[in-house]
Amino acid sequence: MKTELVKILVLSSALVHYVIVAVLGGVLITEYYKRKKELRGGILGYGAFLIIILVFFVLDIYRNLVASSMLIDWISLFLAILANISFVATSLRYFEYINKRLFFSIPLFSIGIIIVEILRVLQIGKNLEVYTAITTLVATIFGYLLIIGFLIDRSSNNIVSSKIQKKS
Amino acid sequence: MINPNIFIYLTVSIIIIWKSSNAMIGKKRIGLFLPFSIVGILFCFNSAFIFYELPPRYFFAASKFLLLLILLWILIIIRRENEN
Repeated sequence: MKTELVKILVLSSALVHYVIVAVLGGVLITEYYKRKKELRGGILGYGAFLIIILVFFVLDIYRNLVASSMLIDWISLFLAILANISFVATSLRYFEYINKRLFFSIPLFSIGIIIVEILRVLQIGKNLEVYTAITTLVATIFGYLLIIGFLIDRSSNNIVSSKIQKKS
Repeated sequence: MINPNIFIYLTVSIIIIWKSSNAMIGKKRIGLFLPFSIVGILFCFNSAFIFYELPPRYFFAASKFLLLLILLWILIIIRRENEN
């Protein structure tokens, strides 16, 4: 029964994760081509973050359902750190346009994932796949809201109004 | 044989999430369209339960209850918008 529940949570969160990331990637691509050059900043950074967490989740599903090895554990630890760095770097660069509460909550989740990955590499945390699946899903939903908010704040009217405020 | 319901659930969920996120950006308001994207995510969970043929009875019941609550949330939002 426990393995069935683990399967339900891991697989269904994976499918939801793929759909959210695919839709968000589509929104980012359309926004990238809709906007003028000066308003495109940050979209590519968040796109790279989405691609990294997508690869991380593919590896996580492979590890849980097919085969687990030390190499995959090391690669997923590296990807988790890389995703965290790319997200924080892009967000800090455009800090004035993002929701601060969401920004400070996402690294908390991702630091938790990194700790779980370190435990896996040290071969301590073997039964933590549910934690990784659910935490990644929650972090993705928060990231979805943060990126949509970023796109709203960085639209043309807000940039024009902030420039006028700076001049006055 | 894959249950054909999965395609309906997946397509509907992708359309709902896509349209609600575009509407969020277009109207510049997240809160107004948030319940719709949550409905899309719930539909996606349901399609996952169907796809993997796992015992989903309790999850289906819980998701139906959540859908009812979100319907009430949408009705309250529409009423508030009309009052304004």
